[in-house]
Amino acid sequence: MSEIYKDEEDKLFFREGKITYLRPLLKSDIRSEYLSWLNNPELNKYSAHFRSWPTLEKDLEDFYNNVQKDNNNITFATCCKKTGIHFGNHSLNDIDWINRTAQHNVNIGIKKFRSIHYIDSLKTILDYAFNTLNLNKITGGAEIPGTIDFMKRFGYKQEGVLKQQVFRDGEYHDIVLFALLKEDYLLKEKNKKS
Amino acid sequence: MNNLEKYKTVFCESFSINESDLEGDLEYNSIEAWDSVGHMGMIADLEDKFDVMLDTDDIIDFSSYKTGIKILKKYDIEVEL
Repeated sequence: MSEIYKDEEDKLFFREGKITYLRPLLKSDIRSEYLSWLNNPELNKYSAHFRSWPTLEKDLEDFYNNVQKDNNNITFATCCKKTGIHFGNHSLNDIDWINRTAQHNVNIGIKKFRSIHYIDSLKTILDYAFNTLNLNKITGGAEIPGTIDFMKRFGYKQEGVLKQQVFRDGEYHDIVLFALLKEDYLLKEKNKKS
Repeated sequence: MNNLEKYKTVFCESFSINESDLEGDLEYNSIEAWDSVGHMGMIADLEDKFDVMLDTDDIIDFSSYKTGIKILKKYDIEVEL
């Protein structure tokens, strides 16, 4: 990824929503605050990976270097339009270019951006997934109670439950799997405009 | 309880404020309780009280007490000030 934008980060965006924008990850994003998101037990309560193992600066550097080489996984830094603050990442992972599927993952590191900024940025990445990459199905999964009710706003449907899939706080917990089809997404968008 | 009373109740309960705080036009982020997280709690309460599901664009556009009244109108919910 070019460093020519380093001094003009505020001008660098790839896709924009109403109040947020997505841009490529920059080397300068690998900072202590970012590292603190990935090691904060409260923020990572529902992330089996991050809550179990400490994340090192080198892990982030490796991640950054790999992100640029891998066309089957796309990661965006997600930022607030008003302040330019990088508050999280959205990624499309394990993209299957034949079957047109991808898994969507998100990490919002700053709590105050976890509602409307999240909604706005989610709309942006879904639009990118369906209307730019021409993906047909976006999948996700969550342990967080109430997530599926929230995701239904976007047209997601529950596809199943992985029973006792994760171990947290001394107990096993279920993971709800959900997915959004392009046709359902486009139908929702069409209904909005009519 | 009429729609205005219900609407006011949602704001007062969600943000722990008094009705007098709604005079003028209370705006998003103008009080500590109406931050990004408080916003979703208020929207959930509003949807529950008026039996409606707001579109995501409307959730983002819901930037003030008065703007909310205009948004609810789109869902055929009349709130007369």
